[in-house]
Amino acid sequence: MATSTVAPRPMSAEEKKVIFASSLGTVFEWYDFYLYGSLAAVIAKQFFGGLDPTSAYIFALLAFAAGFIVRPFGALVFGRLGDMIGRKYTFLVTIVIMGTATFIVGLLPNYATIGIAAPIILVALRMLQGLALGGEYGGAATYVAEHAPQGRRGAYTAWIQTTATLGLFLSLIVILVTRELTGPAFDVWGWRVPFLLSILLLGVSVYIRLSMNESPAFAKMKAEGKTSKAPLSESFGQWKNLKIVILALIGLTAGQAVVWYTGQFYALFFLQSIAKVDPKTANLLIAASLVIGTPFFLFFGSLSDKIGRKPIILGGCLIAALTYFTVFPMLLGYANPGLVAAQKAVPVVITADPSTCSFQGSPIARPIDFTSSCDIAKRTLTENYVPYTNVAGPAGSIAIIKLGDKEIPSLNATLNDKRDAFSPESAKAIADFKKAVVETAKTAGLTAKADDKTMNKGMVLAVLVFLVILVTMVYGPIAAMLVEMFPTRIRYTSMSLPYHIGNGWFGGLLPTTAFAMVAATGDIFYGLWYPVIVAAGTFIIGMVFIKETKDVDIFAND
Amino acid sequence: MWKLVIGFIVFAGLALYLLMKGGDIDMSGEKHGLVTSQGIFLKV
Repeated sequence: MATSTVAPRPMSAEEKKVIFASSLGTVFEWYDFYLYGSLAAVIAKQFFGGLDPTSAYIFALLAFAAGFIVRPFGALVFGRLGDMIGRKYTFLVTIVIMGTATFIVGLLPNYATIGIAAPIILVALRMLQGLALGGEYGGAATYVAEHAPQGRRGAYTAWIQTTATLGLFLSLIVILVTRELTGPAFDVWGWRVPFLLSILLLGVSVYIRLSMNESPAFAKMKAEGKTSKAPLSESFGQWKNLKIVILALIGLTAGQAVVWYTGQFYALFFLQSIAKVDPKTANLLIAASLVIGTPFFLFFGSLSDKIGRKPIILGGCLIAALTYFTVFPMLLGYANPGLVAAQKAVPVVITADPSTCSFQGSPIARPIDFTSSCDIAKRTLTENYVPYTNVAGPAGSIAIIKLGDKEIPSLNATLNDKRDAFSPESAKAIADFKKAVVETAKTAGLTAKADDKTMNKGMVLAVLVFLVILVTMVYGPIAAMLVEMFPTRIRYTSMSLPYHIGNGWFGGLLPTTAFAMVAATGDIFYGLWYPVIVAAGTFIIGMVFIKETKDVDIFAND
Repeated sequence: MWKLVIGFIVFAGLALYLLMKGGDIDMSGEKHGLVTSQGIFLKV
């Protein structure tokens, strides 16, 4: 693409409106999407409580698909529409679908009222939400970028990058206020209010977006009759474009996604599960770090207009890859020094026949998929995040956990006749085994909760802010960079897919993969290899193959 | 610009105040409904 270095000018009133309207709608869309996560427990009780294990598993797989398959599919569906009929109408459609689906959840009768239809409709609505979200981000980013003056796209699109965090906060605030107002009725009907409220947010978003004009780049292209007739085949059927899509995925969004998930979500998981900080304190510390970190999205977006997108995004990936193995042990030490001391003092060893140990890395695996004594022993310790070392035992032997001086033999489990649960004898034996392990670990101090008196909250917060700042480095400038990598005629389609595959797959698989890596090795930090390898891979591929785009003239060559 | 700064400070202050006052919160964001190898069951 052609490049241009026009001097930046101040933001006009129309541009401010474009950013405000696009960002507000995207905040509402994230709000709708996050309500599910924030209300997971109450939704599960209302809609899935009466299901047998097999049906529950099928619904769980479908809901899983909403995030992992439907979202990228939404990127294709709405990306195509956006490149054919325009950005404005397409991201109007996405927000209408999202807002309506969320509103209907608020009205949906529960399992007790309409039986199996309740979870079926709920999962269908969840899929619609995934579809809409897949189309929204690319539309908003493209729309804002195409309105931004040359040399200011990073600063303008950075506003869109704040919306996921703000949407999460908005959903939590609305839930807390509703819970306060409805009291004990929240679990009965109060939980519906945040969903119903989305109709108001939808009204505001549609009103604002209807008053906006089509993006100048698309309008110009349309006036010249140059819009793409087949954006999908142009984006993915022609090697010169497909190559850029693949590079955008592995040289940018994959690393961005793992840094984002590690900094925002894995850090919370680490604090709660590994450092054993009580959930309220852990969530508040994460919330505080996000609040402090949010302005940095705008800072790095704006900085990328001056020094380039590539050094900031890839710099964030590199710093993440180089520092995670230092930062997370620090986090553990500051949060729960007593636990660190116990881990050093009490060695834990699993002796097992290696041929009976599997890699527990499938994101759709169930506990009953792991029946060997080795897997059960490793799962028991890993679920409690007790670190251990592996010793190879004789072939055919039962795995044994040695915790300090005490040895606890594991067991091989069997399934029931329907093969949808452990047999009653095995279920009881597993429960007894887990109880014995957990009680011994507890006595040794290996499951000690973080103590408020010994926790260095200031330093924990400092570490979390550092992780969030890495998130803002990789995420702040990414929309501008993705937009600038593709020509106007296929921009919406081409940039949406790598974004959603990167974030949905590389980011979404982080918890499961990290768990499996910890379970395989017994090292509680071993799961960090996943984000470290992906971020380092993105850094190398990005440095070699991705070109700087800040000076690209996105209106040229259309 | 100053309006944005004030707006952000107000939003951030309100958010943290409500989150501190409001009891249990969950910042873990998006959840995929699945039965994972970790035994997470049907958290949609």
